[in-house]
Amino acid sequence: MANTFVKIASTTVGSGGSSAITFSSIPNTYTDLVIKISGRTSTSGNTDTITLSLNGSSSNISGQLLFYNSNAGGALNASTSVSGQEGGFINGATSTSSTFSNVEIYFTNYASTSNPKRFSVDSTQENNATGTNAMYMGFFAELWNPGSQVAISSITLTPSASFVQYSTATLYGISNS
Amino acid sequence: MPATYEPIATTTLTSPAASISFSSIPQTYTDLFMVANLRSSDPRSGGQSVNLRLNGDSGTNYSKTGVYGSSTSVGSFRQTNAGVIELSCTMNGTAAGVFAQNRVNIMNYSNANVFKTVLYRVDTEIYASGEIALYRSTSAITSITLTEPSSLNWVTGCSVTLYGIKAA
Repeated sequence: MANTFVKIASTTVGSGGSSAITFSSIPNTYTDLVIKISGRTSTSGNTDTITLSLNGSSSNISGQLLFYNSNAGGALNASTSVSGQEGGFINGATSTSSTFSNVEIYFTNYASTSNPKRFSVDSTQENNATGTNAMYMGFFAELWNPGSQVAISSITLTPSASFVQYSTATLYGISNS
Repeated sequence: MPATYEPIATTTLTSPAASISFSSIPQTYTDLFMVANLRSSDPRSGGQSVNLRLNGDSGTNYSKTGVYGSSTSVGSFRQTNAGVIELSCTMNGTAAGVFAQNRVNIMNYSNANVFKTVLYRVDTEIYASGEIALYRSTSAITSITLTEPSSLNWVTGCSVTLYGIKAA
């Protein structure tokens, strides 16, 4: 039986950091895509966000965000503002050292040329600390609808500053047959 | 290398259907993972719940807890002695080609000594949630059924895949 869950590409950030991580020339032979991220950025503060671009653009992405953060009186919140954070939350430079976020992004039917693309993001930024934005957790429900439907062929993850060394991102293809 | 993550079955509707089911689920895996992309024939816009039942059990043998955020509210819920686990679908008045995404994990599904726990994410573009459910039965899971709560249909294009995951 053909492999169902296949690594397409993987990036580990080196000592110089990286302003973005891009997966390009994504084959359209799978059913779904999954990106798994362990990340930290050089952005000042406990928490940074990841902008996600599909086929070179972060336009035409809408969604619903459910999140919890540790700020004073922290509570569960909802927002439809996903712009600039389509790829989730990530540890920033002043978060507890050696601490990296976990993010999973799941695209269903990414290669469809007739339908908009649904994707979800599960994102955690835990810090074992107090203070502003010491912890962020989020569930994102998002939709890419560019009008003229095409397969997703490239995905770019961009923090506010740079991914730091030891950040990793892996793209997997999942086949349903 | 033996396969660890295998598709058990896929249903992609080429015509409307009242339900989508997987039966005679092999008991040779450790965990199950299901991805369900669903749209109802309900003519309204927005999201709608989906009835998920295990082993055809419609008794009040389910309980569930979750957190959710929508375009109008945010909160948590808990329900005991429920007759169903609820996922989500997009209704047919929503923009064309848009389906809800549901990802469902059932760990240890074939173990005859434990009740079954379900961990799932439910997403439409106006609703995001993380939920858990308990199915109070030690029976192995042999079937999964998805039905529309108003007895309407799933539309053409709905796709659901059941995967088996082996620990060794």
